[in-house]
Amino acid sequence: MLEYKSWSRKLFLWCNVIFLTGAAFICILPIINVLAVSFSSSQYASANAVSLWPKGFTWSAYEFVANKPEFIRSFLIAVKVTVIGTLINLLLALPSAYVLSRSEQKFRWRTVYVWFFVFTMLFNGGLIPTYLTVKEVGLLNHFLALILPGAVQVFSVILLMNFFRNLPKEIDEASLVDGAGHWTNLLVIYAPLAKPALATITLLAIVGHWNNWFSGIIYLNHPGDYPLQSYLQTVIIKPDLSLISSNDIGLLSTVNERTSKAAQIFLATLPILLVYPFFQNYFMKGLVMGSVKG
Amino acid sequence: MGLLKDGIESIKNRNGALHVMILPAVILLILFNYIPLFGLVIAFQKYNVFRGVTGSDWIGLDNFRFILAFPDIYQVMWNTFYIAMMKIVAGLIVPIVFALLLNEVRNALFKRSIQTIVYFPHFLSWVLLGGILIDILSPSSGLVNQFLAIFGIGPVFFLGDDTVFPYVLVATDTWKDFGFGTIIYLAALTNIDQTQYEAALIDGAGRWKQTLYVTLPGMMPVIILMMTLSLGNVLNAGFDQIFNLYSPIVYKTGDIIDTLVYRTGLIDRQYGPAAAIGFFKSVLSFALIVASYKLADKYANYRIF
Amino acid sequence: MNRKWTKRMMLSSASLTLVMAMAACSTSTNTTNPSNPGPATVNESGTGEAASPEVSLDPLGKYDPPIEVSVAKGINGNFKLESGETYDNNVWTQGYEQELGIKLNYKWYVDNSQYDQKIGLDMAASDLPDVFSVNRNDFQTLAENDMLADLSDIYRDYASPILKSIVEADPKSFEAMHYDGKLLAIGQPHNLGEQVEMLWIREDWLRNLGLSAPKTMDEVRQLSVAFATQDPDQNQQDDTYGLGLTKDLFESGFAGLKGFANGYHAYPGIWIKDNAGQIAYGSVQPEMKTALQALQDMYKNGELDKEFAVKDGGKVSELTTGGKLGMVYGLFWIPGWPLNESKTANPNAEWKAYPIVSSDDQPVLGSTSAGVTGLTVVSKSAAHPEALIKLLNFGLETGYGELADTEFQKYHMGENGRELFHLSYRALFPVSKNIDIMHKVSEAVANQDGSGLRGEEKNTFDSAMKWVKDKNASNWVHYAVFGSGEQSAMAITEYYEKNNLMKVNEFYASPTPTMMDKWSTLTKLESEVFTKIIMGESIDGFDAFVKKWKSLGGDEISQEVNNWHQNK
Repeated sequence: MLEYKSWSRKLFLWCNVIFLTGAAFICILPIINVLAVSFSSSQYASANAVSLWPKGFTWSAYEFVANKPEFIRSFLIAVKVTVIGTLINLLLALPSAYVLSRSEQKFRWRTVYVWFFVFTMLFNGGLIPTYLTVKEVGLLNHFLALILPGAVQVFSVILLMNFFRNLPKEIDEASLVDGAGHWTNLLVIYAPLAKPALATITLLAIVGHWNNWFSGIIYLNHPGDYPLQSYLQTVIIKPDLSLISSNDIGLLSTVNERTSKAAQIFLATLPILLVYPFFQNYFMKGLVMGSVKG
Repeated sequence: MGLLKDGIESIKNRNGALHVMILPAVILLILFNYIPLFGLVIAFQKYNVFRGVTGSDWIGLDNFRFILAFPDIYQVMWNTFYIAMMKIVAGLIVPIVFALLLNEVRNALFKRSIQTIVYFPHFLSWVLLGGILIDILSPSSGLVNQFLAIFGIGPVFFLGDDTVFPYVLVATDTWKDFGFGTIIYLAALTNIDQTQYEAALIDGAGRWKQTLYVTLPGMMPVIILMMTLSLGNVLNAGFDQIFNLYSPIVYKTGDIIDTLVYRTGLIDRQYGPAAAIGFFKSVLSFALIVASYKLADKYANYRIF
Repeated sequence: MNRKWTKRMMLSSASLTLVMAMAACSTSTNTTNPSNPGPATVNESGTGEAASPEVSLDPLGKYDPPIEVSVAKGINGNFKLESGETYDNNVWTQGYEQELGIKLNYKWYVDNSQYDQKIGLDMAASDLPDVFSVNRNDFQTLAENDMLADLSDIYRDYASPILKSIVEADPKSFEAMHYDGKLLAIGQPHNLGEQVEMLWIREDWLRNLGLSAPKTMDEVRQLSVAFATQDPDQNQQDDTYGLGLTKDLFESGFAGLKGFANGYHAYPGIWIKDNAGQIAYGSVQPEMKTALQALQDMYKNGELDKEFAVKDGGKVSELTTGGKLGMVYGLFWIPGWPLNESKTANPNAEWKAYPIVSSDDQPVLGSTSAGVTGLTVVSKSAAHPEALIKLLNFGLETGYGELADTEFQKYHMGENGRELFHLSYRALFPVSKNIDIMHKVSEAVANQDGSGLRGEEKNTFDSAMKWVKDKNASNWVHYAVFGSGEQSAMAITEYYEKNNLMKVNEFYASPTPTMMDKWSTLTKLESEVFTKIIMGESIDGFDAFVKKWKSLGGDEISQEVNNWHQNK
């Protein structure tokens, strides 16, 4: 097939590249800044003299982190929570989305279920009632409290449902002719087709679990059990200058250690940055629909 | 009635499997979403933490009246709505455009790199970004103003000028999160039947027309879905961001419901008014989403969900 | 655009429950009672009841068999634990168990910043530990709902003399621990003198410009101009400011402006007696106008950071660290942070504290407020309410009492200066210890001989000497605050106290009903208007502000405050 690129097309493509590069540039700058601060000496960092390149290069911030058992422990806990949590999210989302994507004619309960799901996205009982419920169920201070309350990611379910609905009807008819029940339909036909959408919601789930700092703090009793971001929250919080008493003087010099904060922030973000490209394979692959034989 | 009959029938026909499939999710939602909904009634109570929901006094709409009695509440509500709406619009347009532009790139490595990088800002907290933005947006030494100076545009005190502050909020928030939306739209793009492009090409459509007549329509379901769902945020202007970026001199246009309520929380644990606000937001969002759904159904014959 | 609904909703209601105790501490009169030796030992012998533990009235009497007490604690995340050491199991928990027969059961502990959140959840779930701390508002709520044990008798019977001397050091603070006439909490009373700001100046800059420290507000103004325009750091660049300030204006421990306002006899943020003998709010008095006008002039003149309005203390500290700011008002502890960073960045940076100064021949009085830090309470359902008193007694005896000679290093401050007291459940300390420490340490530093010192004094001396000998910036705080004699920060606090140069907040009760509803609106208005005036809006805006303040609830609140005062 001949591809003739007009000059306007070429111009557009070049401008596009420049624009996209520029956008990526402004998006990466803050991370570079964090990285630079993490490798700088504290007096430059405290004076905010570090921009994109370390000043007074030193590994000391990372040494500090390596010696902080809380960081490492919470990192591992975060990995555990993320893996298990994402798995549970997917196990719940896939069948649910399939059910919600059934046609109204064949399955009238469908609309009821959809609004049942959507309603929960908008109405929330609030912190106290949710906390009390989790307590009653006996999940307080258990790591599942970080997973189960949000295990049904309605946004992802709706996204996946939407994806399923836009697949050609022929698929259902084909499998119906073959005598397949719903389970077979879901697992053998739909699941493999849903790779881009599944990759999307898996990524959302991973990011969601990884970044969740709030649940850890309210449901867990010991900072030693915190996942990474819960631990980090206490590190990055700004010092409350109104609360200092003479008993706190000795610890003041450890406050606001920017370089160690930067190192921890960077290390906490790194796993996601590495995981993301891995999922890109699935977003990028096109789907050749012509393979469906009617 | 018909539903009930259907339900019973389902057990007999293959639809039974569907109910089973969705059961675990339903149970979890009932447990962790529906049961706690009893807390919504706190909005109508003078909530006493020790007497709980069953023991606290009912005060009808007094919590709402309390909130509405704040001197700047209408200004604050307007700020909330205005900022939230702008974020919704920008949050829709920018990722879509970006996804389309990215889609034009042929080089896979370049495409993937850009896509990865623009997702980075999403992971930085506003606590961190606040400090960085104060520097970048500084009227005296900030990069942005230095850039504007090239065009002769005078230094703008972005974070300190209440006429520009809301736009700064929208711009920085969009910058932070557009990478996320891009993922969703790119995934939607891969779902478009390639043969349609070939057909369009044969019909003589250039790339631009292809975009208009193949790509965009192909993305429409996702776009409409995201648009509708984002209506749920019509009153969420972004507490985390604003809390870390605002200061008294921009209260006039930057103070939102959540920050106002937060400052009130300093005096007491105001559960009732907080619940009232949450309730109000929920009802409004729900009404808007239902309205969109019905409109789409009636005029476009399209069911969003 | 991923909106996690649950999280968002929880965040908005959670953000409400983040109560930061902003109550400024206030005055305490200086009544130090030396600890009397020999606690009263009245042992009650149980009469054949083997099951219940023998409760002796000995302040340090041991429970036998041991009892369990559940607690919750807010921890300072900056304190590093050693390997094997946890808050549940450390030298203190072992001490409590071995010496007192009290097994501490930590229901939970959390970083201080999240404490109010967590305790709020326990309150909502009606599942409180036996012993825990609360802020003033929660204290009120718990007391109103009869959830707290009455400690009045227990305190009288079990508290050691040291504990009593601390708790009762200031009548206003002691009152704050009561509700309805009953003692319901134990807390650390504030030291009034230590709340007064001092003026911190770069000595080397003064020398470079051949100037001396200011003795009047006029001289402060002149010094500010000099620092801003005469290149005091001699780097041939016009990059220095005159005076530091943050977006919190008057309310910041570092680069606050209370001392500045006090110089003009203005008292923002506190309640004072006006000419008519009524109690009135300081921020709406005419003297504030003078202070604001001065700041406005300084801003216009370029002496103040044009972007101060968006910067908090942390951001402003970049200026002191970076050598761009050489004069700030601040509390006594700022050599601990952030001035220490300034010294790390530039070993030649010399900061010295000076007393605040006046604008006329009337002596300047420094704003300060009475109060209590951390109200520790006992749940009404606790089996052994007196256990709290014993825990506190133990902490104090090992720290400042009879046992301190042998036990101080084990429990309070190790050889290396490690602050073990952070591991205790609650560490109270004598309200006015700092000035005594300053005298002893300064003398020892001058003689380079710390042999006569014990306990905290010895540790402070060691740290100060580390600064003198090795110039280690993190030790500088002990030298600057305690070890430099007449030049030390504590010397200035002593000067304030000796000469009674304090203006004490007249209001120190829990918020009044109208305050609960409207105070946040009033403070919002105040911050907005004051900041805008400093940045250049007409000073007449102040009069308009006063009118508005009064009508938006200020008058009502003033009435309530005066009623409270009359009925005390």
